[in-house]
Amino acid sequence: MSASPDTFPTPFRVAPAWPMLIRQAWAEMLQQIRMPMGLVWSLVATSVLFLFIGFGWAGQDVAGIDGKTYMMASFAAFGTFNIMLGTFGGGIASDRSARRHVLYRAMPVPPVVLLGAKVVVACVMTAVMTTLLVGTAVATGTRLDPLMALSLIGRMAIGGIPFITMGLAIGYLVRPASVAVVINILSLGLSFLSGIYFPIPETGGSIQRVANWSPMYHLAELGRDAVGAQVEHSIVNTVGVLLIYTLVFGLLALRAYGREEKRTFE
Amino acid sequence: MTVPTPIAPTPAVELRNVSKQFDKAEALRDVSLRIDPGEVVAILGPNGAGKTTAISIMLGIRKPTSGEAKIFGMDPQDLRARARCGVMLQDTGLPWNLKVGELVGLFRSYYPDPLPSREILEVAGLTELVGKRAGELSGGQRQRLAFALAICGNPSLLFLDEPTVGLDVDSRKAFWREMKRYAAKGASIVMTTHYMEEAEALADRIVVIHDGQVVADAPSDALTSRMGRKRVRIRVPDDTTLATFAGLPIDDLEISQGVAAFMAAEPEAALHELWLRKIAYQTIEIRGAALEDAVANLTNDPGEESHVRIA
Repeated sequence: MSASPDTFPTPFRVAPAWPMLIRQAWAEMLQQIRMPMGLVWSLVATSVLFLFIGFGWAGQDVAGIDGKTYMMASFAAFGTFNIMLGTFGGGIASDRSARRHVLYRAMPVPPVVLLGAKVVVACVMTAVMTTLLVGTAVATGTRLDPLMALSLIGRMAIGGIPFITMGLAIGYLVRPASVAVVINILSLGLSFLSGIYFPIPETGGSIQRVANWSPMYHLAELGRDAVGAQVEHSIVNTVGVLLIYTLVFGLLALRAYGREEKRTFE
Repeated sequence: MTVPTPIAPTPAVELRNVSKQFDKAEALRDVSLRIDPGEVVAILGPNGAGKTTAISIMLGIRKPTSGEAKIFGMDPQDLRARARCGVMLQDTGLPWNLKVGELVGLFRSYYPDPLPSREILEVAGLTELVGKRAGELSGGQRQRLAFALAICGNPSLLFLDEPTVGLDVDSRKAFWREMKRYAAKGASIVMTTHYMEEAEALADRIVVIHDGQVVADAPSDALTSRMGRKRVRIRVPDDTTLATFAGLPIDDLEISQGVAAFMAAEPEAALHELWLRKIAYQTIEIRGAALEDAVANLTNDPGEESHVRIA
């Protein structure tokens, strides 16, 4: 063992943020890749569920398009929700549980780099999940304009941002051991109320009234619009609702973060 | 980003009248401490004395209720100050499914002037384990990994919280050698440890914290010589009891398996009195007070007769 005899650097500096962000994002990505069960659930399960449920609507007209294409867009929103909440809610809970957040706190890493790395990974995983979903649909006979497919992939990656703030709020509010249960309950409940398992236009008005309050419904509508379906609300309205949810969950996350800060770091 | 260097000389760490209140408990009371560049300081004290709180405040992990903490003259939360620190904390996890080499690469990216990866791995004795996942390492290897991550940034100030827990004797000695070498480069080191031998071997100064206050701040030699007492061990007959020693000018008496051990300012007088009492003792061992005795003496409540285990 030998240490270098060099002198210590004299100026007080911080490391450049971009290389740090790239390294951190790559480390986050490797962690995801090395958890096969989680990775399969995040990326593949959505396509499998779509195969089981969405196929039943093939050949039927739903909102002006083929029912299977409509269901594909719906399941894209379902998968995005699970990835965003898993990465943020699950990720924050895991960091808290292992006290990694205390170690990071003592490091010269800006919190925005740690958060940014998770955002990058969640967006990449969402894009991969949506691509697999679209690939599954196309491979089983769905005809989809490539531009529509790209639009769907892009809209999911960006439209999932409200669920990042929702995941953060859950990650800080809920006990780490309970986070997975809370996310699963939310995923099942919201997907049922958002027309993920069945097209909302086929169910009558009551579900529609409830769905209007669900952020997952609005993300699904964003996806359905991307693949040419007639949607209930204007795209501006849908984006506006998603922005409001981003703000509401963001404020909740900030409050929960402040509480955690006080408890652990004051 | 390059900013002007603060005007020297600046202490590496400075606590000024720091107090910390947790609900009703006062973890630190009016603690002032200065650690200069190049100093190696061991913070000792019983469990719950306030050592971890003091280190957390130095690191900027916690904020003082009153008083002020500075690292290199800056707020400990200032990333420029943190970029000059290395940290090895207890009870904090790592991303366990990353490999050793990946973790070193990640932590190097946090610092503006990191050491080369090869050197970090060599110093920590991890070269052979570079491709192994952190979660697959043994306890001792994990400690070495934590040390490797602490020195990634070529720190001017190292915080080591129980750095050699879980290491075998050889690894511990190798770690000490590396610490001495690192201190010789001009780095300041602040450490807590359960091993008094470690504190004696590495630290220029010992800071003893008890009940949230600094009760001693001196070199190890000064602490032990201040004791003015010696530790005595004698082999005694099997029927010897505590009553046999009643009235002798000794304290911290322990009798176990035919051996009596006690502290005495004048061991000769105590042994003479035992001889007068016709106690057939033999195999006498007298030595100066150890650091453990000195710290126990400082942290023992008045009237408490037993040893205090140093944590």
